[in-house]
Amino acid sequence: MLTRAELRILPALHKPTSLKELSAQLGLSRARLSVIAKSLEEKGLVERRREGREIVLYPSSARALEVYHELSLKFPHIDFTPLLAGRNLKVIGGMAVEKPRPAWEIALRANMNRYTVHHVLAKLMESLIVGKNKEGYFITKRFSLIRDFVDEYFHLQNSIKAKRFSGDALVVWSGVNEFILATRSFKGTAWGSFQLTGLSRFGDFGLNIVSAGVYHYYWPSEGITLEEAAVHALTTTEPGARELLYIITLLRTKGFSVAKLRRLALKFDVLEIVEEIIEYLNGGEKGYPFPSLEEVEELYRQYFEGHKNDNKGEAD
Amino acid sequence: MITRERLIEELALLDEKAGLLASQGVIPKRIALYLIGSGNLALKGIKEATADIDIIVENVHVLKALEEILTNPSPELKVGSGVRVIYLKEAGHEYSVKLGAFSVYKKLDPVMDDFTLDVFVKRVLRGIALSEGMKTRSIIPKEFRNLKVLRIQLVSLEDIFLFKGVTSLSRAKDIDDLFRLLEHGIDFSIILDELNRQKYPIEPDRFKWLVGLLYEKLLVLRDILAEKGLKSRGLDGFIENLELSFVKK
Repeated sequence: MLTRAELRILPALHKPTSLKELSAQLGLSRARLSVIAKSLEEKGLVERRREGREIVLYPSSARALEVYHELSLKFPHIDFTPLLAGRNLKVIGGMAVEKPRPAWEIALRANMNRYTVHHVLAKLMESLIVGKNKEGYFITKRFSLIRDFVDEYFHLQNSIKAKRFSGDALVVWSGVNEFILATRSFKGTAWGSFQLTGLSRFGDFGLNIVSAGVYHYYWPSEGITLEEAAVHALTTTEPGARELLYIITLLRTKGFSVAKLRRLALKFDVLEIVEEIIEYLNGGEKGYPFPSLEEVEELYRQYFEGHKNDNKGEAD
Repeated sequence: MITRERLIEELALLDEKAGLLASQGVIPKRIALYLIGSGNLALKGIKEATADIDIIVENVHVLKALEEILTNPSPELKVGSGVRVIYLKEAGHEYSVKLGAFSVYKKLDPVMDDFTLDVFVKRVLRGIALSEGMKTRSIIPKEFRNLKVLRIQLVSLEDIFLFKGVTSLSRAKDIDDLFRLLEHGIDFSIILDELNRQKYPIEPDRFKWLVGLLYEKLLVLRDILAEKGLKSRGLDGFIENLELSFVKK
């Protein structure tokens, strides 16, 4: 999160500025500024350089910083410091521009409780940033830049954490303080709070996979459920016939919570395909790329009944 | 899950075991294993697949030698850091000239999870046969070049296209793999030549049936591409050639 003090400094950082200058400009002690600058550096927004006897803060090339400056220029009459500090940032992270979402969905996406979300939304509505209709709460088009800033900010924080996992890691899905990365570095099924996920994790549920060399890890978690592995697989690849076959066979064999699957699918923006999967599992026939029932049963027999002797002249 | 590295390591352990058996004169000094199917694609980094690797060997003698390597439980055959690599034979057919043999070997591995090798002799049951052209086109990836007994040959993408092209239409996953192969780029003239060569080892009726399957599947592929606003001139030309050479004859 960004603190109020950190947000206060950001507008001044459109050019390299020494701590001495900042201290005079903002009326904060140099010791206090030094602590804030260090925190901003960890968040990828500034770079601290010693020049002679001075510490100079250089704005980073992060897009988040650029958008924040654009925001200050476009709305000079608004003090964004209280509006974007702390948990407000997370709530905005769970919202969309002109697309209403109920509070429970915002809470789900923001990883917060609903009570806090309501409280924050009330404040943001007062500033005319957030609108409400019968379907839920939304960010007004006029303030779409705020949503851009929040997206960029969380993406940046997630990328910094991903790079700690491995130098080649790329964030392929970014949420509010949670993400999925893709990497060629395999570090087992768990590495700290990073959990191997997607197709590569299907072995935990009885469907062992040979990897093609790219692995996906979800952060932060202490484990991965079948519903998560399935939704993450749909999020990280364009779901083709193979992915659907594996997902459908596992869900059908192992059983799952429909509510949990839907909630996750909503958060990871794969609800449409998940609804189709649920429909398929309820007996609704579907064409390509959905597997034939015959294919699902063949895979089931191979992996869960131990029958391997029913190959009809076909290699996998 | 099996990482590429773990799979390479497993084959290296099997090669070490094969080396011990070859030095005792139990098996030949060189054994070629041709990897087809999705295991091949996973090793090439193209697609993840379930952990059953499809292999074709040239004849029943090679199958017997491979079976010895996989299943011999002798305590003297320790490899790596002193472990025994043992597979269980799951299913097998007696060798028959027409059908070809087919055996499945399973490794119960706590680290790698279950892992199976499906081994075909000369031909994928009543499907496509391993030809001289396929052998020539196959390559040994650099990770396997140091192996002493086992020659791990990955058949070409064109040949995988053919193997996957003749599976039943109900296998949507094969259609997906064909897309991947199209994206990668393949030489259809190789597939056409190979199809002409397959005419002889395969029974005439069966050949006609397989070409029919391939043709139908490619029409499905072309339709799916068209739905997405895509078009492959190579694929269209190949379909035309199939019509001229086989389907309308």
